[in-house]
Amino acid sequence: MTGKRLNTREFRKNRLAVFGVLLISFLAFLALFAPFISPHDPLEQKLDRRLEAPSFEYPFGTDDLGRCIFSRVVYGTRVSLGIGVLVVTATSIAGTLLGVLSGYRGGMFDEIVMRGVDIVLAFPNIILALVIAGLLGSGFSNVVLALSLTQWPVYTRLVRGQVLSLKKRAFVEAARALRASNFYIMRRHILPNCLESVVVLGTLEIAHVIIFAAALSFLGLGIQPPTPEWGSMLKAGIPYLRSAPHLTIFPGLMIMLTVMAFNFAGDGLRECLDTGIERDVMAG
Amino acid sequence: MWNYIAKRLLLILVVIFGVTLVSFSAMYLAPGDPAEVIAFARYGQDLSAEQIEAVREAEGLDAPVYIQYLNWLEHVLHLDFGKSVISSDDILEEILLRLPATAELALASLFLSLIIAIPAGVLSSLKQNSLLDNACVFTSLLGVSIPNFWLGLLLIWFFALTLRMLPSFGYGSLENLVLPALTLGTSMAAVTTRLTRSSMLEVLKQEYIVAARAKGLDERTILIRHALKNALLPVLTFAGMQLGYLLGGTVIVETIFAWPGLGKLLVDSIFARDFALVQGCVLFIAILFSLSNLAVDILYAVLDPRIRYDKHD
Repeated sequence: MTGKRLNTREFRKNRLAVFGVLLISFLAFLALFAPFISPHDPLEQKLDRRLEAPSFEYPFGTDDLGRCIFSRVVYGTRVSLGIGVLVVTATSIAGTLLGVLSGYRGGMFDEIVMRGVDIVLAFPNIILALVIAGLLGSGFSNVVLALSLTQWPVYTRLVRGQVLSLKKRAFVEAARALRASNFYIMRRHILPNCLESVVVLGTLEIAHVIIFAAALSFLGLGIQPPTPEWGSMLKAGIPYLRSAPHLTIFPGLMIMLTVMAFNFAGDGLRECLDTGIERDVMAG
Repeated sequence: MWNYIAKRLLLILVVIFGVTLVSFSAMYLAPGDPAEVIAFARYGQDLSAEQIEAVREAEGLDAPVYIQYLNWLEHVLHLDFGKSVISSDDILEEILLRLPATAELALASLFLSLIIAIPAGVLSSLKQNSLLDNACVFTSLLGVSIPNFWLGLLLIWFFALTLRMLPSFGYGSLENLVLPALTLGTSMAAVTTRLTRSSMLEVLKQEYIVAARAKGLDERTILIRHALKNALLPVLTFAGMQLGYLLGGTVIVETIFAWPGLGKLLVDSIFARDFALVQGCVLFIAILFSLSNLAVDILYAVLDPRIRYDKHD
């Protein structure tokens, strides 16, 4: 920590952020080493061992087909983190580039891009992704596609706003006076100055995307069983909510932990950037 | 001011036009020939080529796509959303029939979230960095991270199945409303609490609060007349904009609790591949959302004269 006047509030915020980052590392570890961590095959059914409560052999119990919930939950990190990272990578790059171009060039191009943004954002929350994924048909790539098509405008809007104010700053004027090309100005002066907020937004967006993807699967329009996915595991647990609540508790807990990890990390980043602490570290 | 409103109205027309395009093209997202999909939904597995052709003709699917769109748009402009391709019910009628249930759920959730969030946020801001404040901040951080479909299931498990206090599904009585509204309301309260807290902290720093203290007003008056009144403006604006969140959230909550609203209608129509109904629902929700955002923006401009009208975003 470089800040000398770290008051307790910032410290607490950062502690949550540190917790978030640790949790993310832990989840990434689970995803990478899923085959070594899971005690059972996540797809293996043992029909004589259905709906067993958590035990030493099955830490989170078994589901309605006698599959090990712990192993399924561990493998589920691959699906959820995979969707989150893929969607956020694709949308943050596309959205940021569009935002930079749109804000810098202005004019008709800006007008068209911004109306595109408005149109996509006119569909509240998960509605558009629901329709796209629902009609395209379920499956990993369709979920990624649906969420990518609906999430890019958040970056475009944010970045464009920043570009509009950056454009008027002295260093951009100076570069222009030195006859730097537009491309050079965008690449060297505009884009790097937007990256901080894109990183913050991207971190928070991973949380959003993971919830959305799980929601789609929960509704039956996303990832389908037998693929171990937390949202579809929740759906499968509903009929046994009374007699075997562990089917519902553990996958939900994992969604919450994952979303919380990214929210904490993103919040901490935002907090740091607001206060100007460690600016250089964050941009990287 | 009037310029601002006129400009916003013009923009919203452009956006709604775009929204109709997107809603219409929903049908062509589904793999396969729409006529065949509709015929399949209507008559089941054993289809003859004649049946498919009959559907194609009856639904106007033999025309070029842009003609289909223009036909559809013309009907929509006359408030005719068409008929469900499966049940042949009038779509707008069906939507309006479902709207009250969604509105009831949304308003109850909004109300619940405000009566949780405003006191919590205010208390939290007054006792900044206290144990209570920390607890509030942490709980609201936790709250935004809990997926509402999981929260809904946990509430059913606890209140309906274990304690047997409340029904887990159904519609009509106040008892039925409690769990769905709690599901949707608490996750919203998490965000609103944070907003109330930061808004209060911001206002309490202002000079007019110092001035009020210097005048010797008692703390109660300062808090309620001077601080809260100003701090609540962004909170209420935010609550207005939350309608979108609510419309999206109801999709999931209505499905869990079998609540007969718009969200459930949309999900069911997607499953049934009832394209016309999907188009109608999506269009209706998007227009409703756009108009309510517009109303909130205009209201905000009226309430807070400091807002600048020369920029639309």
